[in-house]
Amino acid sequence: MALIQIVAGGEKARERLAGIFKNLGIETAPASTLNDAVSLAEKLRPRAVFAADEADGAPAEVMVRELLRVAPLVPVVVCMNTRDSSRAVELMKAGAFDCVAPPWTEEALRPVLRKALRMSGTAMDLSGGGPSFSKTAPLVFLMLAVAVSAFLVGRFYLGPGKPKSVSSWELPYSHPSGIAFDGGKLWISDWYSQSLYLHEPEKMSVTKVVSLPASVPVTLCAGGGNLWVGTSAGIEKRMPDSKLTVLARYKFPGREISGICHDGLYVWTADAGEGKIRRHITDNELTADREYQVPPKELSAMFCGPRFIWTVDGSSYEILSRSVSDPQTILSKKPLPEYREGWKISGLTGDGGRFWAVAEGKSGGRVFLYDSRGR
Amino acid sequence: MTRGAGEFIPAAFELSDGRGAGWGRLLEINPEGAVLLTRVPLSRGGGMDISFELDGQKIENLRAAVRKTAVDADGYLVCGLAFLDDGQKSGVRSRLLDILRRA
Repeated sequence: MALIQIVAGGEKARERLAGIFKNLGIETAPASTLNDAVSLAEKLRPRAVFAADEADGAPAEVMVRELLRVAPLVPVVVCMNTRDSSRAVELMKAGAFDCVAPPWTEEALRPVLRKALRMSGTAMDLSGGGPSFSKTAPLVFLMLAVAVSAFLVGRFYLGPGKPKSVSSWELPYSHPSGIAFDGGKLWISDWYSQSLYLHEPEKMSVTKVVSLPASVPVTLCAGGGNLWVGTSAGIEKRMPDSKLTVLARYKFPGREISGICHDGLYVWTADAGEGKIRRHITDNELTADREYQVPPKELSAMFCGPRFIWTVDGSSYEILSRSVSDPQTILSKKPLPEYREGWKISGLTGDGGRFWAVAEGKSGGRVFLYDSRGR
Repeated sequence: MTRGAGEFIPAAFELSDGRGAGWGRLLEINPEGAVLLTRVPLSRGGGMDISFELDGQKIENLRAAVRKTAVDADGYLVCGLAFLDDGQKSGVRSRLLDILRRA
């Protein structure tokens, strides 16, 4: 008999789901917390996991990510508490197999369960009865699937070969410490002037300056709809409004924050003082739930996406790529000959096709753009 | 045609008949339309505004009509959608061509 794992913080929710699956002839293994769920998934290898949103107080994205980390082939279905199509799409982008809106009924769960157990797409043959498409449609779909898969496994510009073009601009300030690409805008922090500068990415013209008199910004990233600023005193979460209003301040658990990034779900920090990469849950304390020992010289700057982390080795002038599931192992190294001319790279960011780095040098600050789009 | 369902692009849609919103996955897409896999009951002729991401870029509120529907072996609905707005179709075409050039 197929075994399904149920994850729900409340006993009523677990009983409800268990009752439905019992009627469907399915055996279930319940879990009430994220840790139990992950542990059970590893031991029992269920055919699928049905997890209630906000089980154990953690958002479902965290549940999905953690379950897929230990059991990447197990379909994880999120049983939502509200009917929210945008959230459902975000959860599916995070890796959920599908989402079920309330009320959780046998009728609603049956098709999801069947598809999850089969671990396959639609069984319909669409070649005969489907809508008519142009002759190029199959080719477009095939190439799209290749492109989307390539994108999902992190085919960033640091693939085989050099980036197609490298450009640089002199900055009007001399001590850039961090850089963040935020949906068409580029923020750069300067530790000496204690300011954040907003640049237009095509020509790098400055369009705005926000002074941070109470903070010394040493690193910067964008993620989760906010700007995250690493300062000499800790970490600040700021709203990207006209004043960069502070939403929260957190203590940094290490000695010297040298990089910060947001992978879409977690915040990651680099600590060049203790030689550590830390992963933080975006809770009230920005709790560091994982930490990895890494040579301090490899943590001059940091950038990450959903699957990969990139750091800079400040002594060998190389960008090092790592997996978010194993940050201690270097997957690839890319030399950056521009930085051998005496520049100290202090920040990294990217948008999938372009990659920016800021650096301090004897003659001031500079930003380098690596463009893999051939423009 | 069988694939792992998780490979396909998640999409959210708003129904034109006021029944609210839903979600599913795109099994196929081209500049003229798409094939949507969903559990929301849809019928031929029905309209929707559908949104999804292509290669990290959001494509939002694409006006579409349901041209064909079929129920698969698991009880999901497979719908053929036709995009209605020429300007939006052109946007999808450009996006797909960008992806193909880089693939």
